[in-house]
Amino acid sequence: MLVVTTILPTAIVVLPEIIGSYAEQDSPLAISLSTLIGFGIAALVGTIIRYNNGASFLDWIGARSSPLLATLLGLLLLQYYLDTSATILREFVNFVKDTVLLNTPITVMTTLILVVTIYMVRQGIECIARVNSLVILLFLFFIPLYLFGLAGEMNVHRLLPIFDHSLSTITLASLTPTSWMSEVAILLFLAPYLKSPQKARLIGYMGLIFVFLMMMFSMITTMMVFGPQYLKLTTYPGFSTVGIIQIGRFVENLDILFISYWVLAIYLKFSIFLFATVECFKQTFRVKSSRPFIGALGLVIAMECLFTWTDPAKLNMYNREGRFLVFMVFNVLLPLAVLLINGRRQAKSKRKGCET
Amino acid sequence: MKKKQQASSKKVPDPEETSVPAPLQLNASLEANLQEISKRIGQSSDVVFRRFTNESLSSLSLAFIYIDGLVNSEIINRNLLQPLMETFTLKSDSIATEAAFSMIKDQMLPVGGVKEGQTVESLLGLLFEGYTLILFDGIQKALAADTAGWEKRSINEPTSQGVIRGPKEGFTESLRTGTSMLRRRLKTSDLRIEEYKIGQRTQTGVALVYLDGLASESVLTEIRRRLNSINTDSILESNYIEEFIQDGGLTPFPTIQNTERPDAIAGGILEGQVGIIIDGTPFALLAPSTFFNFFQSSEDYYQRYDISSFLRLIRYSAFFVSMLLPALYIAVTTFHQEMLPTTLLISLAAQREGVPLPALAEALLMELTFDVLREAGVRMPRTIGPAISIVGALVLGQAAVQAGLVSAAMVIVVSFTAISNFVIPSLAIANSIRLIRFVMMLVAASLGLFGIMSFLIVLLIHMAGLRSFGVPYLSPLAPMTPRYLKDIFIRVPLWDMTTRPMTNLGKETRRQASNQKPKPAEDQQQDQQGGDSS
Repeated sequence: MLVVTTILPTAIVVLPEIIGSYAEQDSPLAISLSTLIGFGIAALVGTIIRYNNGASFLDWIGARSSPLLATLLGLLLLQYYLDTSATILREFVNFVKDTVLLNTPITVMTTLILVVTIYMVRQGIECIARVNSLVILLFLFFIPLYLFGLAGEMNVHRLLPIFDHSLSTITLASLTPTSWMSEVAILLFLAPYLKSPQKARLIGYMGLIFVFLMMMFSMITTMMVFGPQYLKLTTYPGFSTVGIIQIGRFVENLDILFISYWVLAIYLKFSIFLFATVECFKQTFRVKSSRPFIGALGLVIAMECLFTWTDPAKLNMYNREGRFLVFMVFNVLLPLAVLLINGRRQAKSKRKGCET
Repeated sequence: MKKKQQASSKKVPDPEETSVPAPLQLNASLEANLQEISKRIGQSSDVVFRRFTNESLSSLSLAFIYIDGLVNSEIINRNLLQPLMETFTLKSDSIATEAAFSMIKDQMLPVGGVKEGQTVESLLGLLFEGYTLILFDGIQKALAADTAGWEKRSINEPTSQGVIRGPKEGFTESLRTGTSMLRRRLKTSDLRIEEYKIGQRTQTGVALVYLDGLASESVLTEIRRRLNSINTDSILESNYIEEFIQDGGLTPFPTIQNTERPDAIAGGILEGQVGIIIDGTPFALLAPSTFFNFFQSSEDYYQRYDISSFLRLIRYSAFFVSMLLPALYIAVTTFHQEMLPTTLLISLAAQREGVPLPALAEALLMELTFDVLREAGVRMPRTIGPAISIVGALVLGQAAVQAGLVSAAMVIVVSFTAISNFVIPSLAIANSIRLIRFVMMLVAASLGLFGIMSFLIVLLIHMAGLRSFGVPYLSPLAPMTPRYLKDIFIRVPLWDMTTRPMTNLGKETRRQASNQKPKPAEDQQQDQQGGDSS
């Protein structure tokens, strides 16, 4: 379930508008395609973890190739995780500022979120996983409320016509969600803490299926309530949908309730990424204890959040157009290269064994 | 330089270490021993020194020492003094002091417990427990006879954890009474009672109670280690022990249960927990304890499962109401008014129109007022208790609203919060919520629902990281173990609770046979016939 929390909170906020702008009522097809690609990435990551038997990713690379290569890869991955954590933090802050705390300075919100997340990471991944399981359980309360509240507003005809867009448009629409699905590669740094690292592939698949179901649920219900054109017109279509939930005459405007639940989930996502950043740092620089560095890394992320992504439009453009390349390089090509190098070395050593 | 030297000479000296002196061996001279004991305990008027000689016992010179008030005088007179003074006479002068000592110890004292002591400290320890010391002239040892008989409080109904249906006995201040109440409930040879003396000056008796084979060895070892490492002057109440041995020294959440009820201790021991009974207080401890243990009441098992389940859900709701209601009120009225239905919003706005204080100040004022009233209610004499109730309800509640100091909605919120607090069976958790509530209100006033959620996630992470003697505090919910959820949010029928909860670190044990669901007689016959034919 950590995989679900790694992908879903920002996906459910950012992706509907991006996918809808390309695919409109064929958005579910784009999500399906991206999930299928995500399964391939999960298989790749799971295979690496199976080979290294849940060992630390960079230590394993260092042992299989050279410590220098491991350090270089570690530095690149550290840069990637720092950047990704900073964008997650910025998306979090932007959303809260736009919908909840309109007058609170961004610096205050960033500091508060960072302090809370540093505390979470210091408690360890076990505590994060336990709280994650509790937060996931809360779905059982919110989904029936969502469905019950919107039942009267849904019109299934708004989903038609299907297959109205070309394959190239759907593929284009699926690029950004694919980059989100590729976040399953975080398992590479969570593997040493898994109870059964050999089941990493299965864990990845289950997480992606859950994300797929939730994304489909969100997109389909939004389109059934507002229609596909609405997806392009609003920044946060999912939360706009919950805003019209009304039960009787005394329960209304529940978007803040759902936003509150989302805040719990995004805290967990940010803490998982901060944890992965700290793990990457620990493995790259081979430090015994990472606790003294959590605050420092958090500070770097906060600075990048505050000063690199000051313009929300820039962040939106990065999400729409730039994220795919970055995520594919670090979550797909890099593990693929590692797997190929490992495969070559294994083949070489087998050949040497046969010759002797 | 001079200023530094002056500053260092004025430095406050470190507190003096008051250590217990090394044990002193008894002297062969009776006079010397009596002088030493008198010097140690001073001229206390309740300490009785009784000397006599018995010519027939080789002119043996004896002295009795006891503390008036701690002993049963009848036992001393009838079972100690009388046998030695009147009943037994020896004609021979050749009996050595050593032989006389053995004869008196083995044959002449019709008393249950007779101990030997060779040091002044060990004898003084026994003296303070109601033993009568018998010192001899000529040997470096003494006898101590168990003559304890001080005034004890009788067994009453527990003051804090009453039930409608169920036993109405509560522990008293006597350790032995407490262990006897457990023995009456657990008539099994597996019940173990280990006693410790903790507190250098109080030498308080502490009993570790558990069922051999059920309690986890690692938990027992850890509890023993923590008890043995307590190095303090005094243990006057169970909280002294609790604060010394609990996990997570700075957490607001309790990790050890306390109870006045022997049936609660017995129930916990039967589930693999370990009980700690302390002399001098009716409140015993139970460990390890998870968060959900504090929402379980003995009465849950004395009533039917359906009503017990309903009441459990009420308790959990009360927990959230007690912790979150004032904060939610502040957040919604200050930041998120759109959540309220229009009619309610207009009503609230009208009520708050004339109130000069912001919602946070209003809430803090009312909460603090209620806490003051509550504390006053605990300590005031019973004769003026009703007067304070009238003051609290009428003056502070209604009059404050009419004066426009607070709104009626706030009075309702605070009252409902306080009542919800009392629904929680454990006072320890209820007190934790009282503290957390204030922080929640401050956070809600600063950042609304976002602040509440941020603080909630901090609390959740904190609780997820807590352990009680190795058992995760949020188990069996996190880490999730579905088969142990039978007795958490609801209580399944007793015939379905076949296994014990995993509070003993991985040792799952079956406590009853399965398939005990009540069936009509004809169904049972059919089952039997089906069993016979197969």
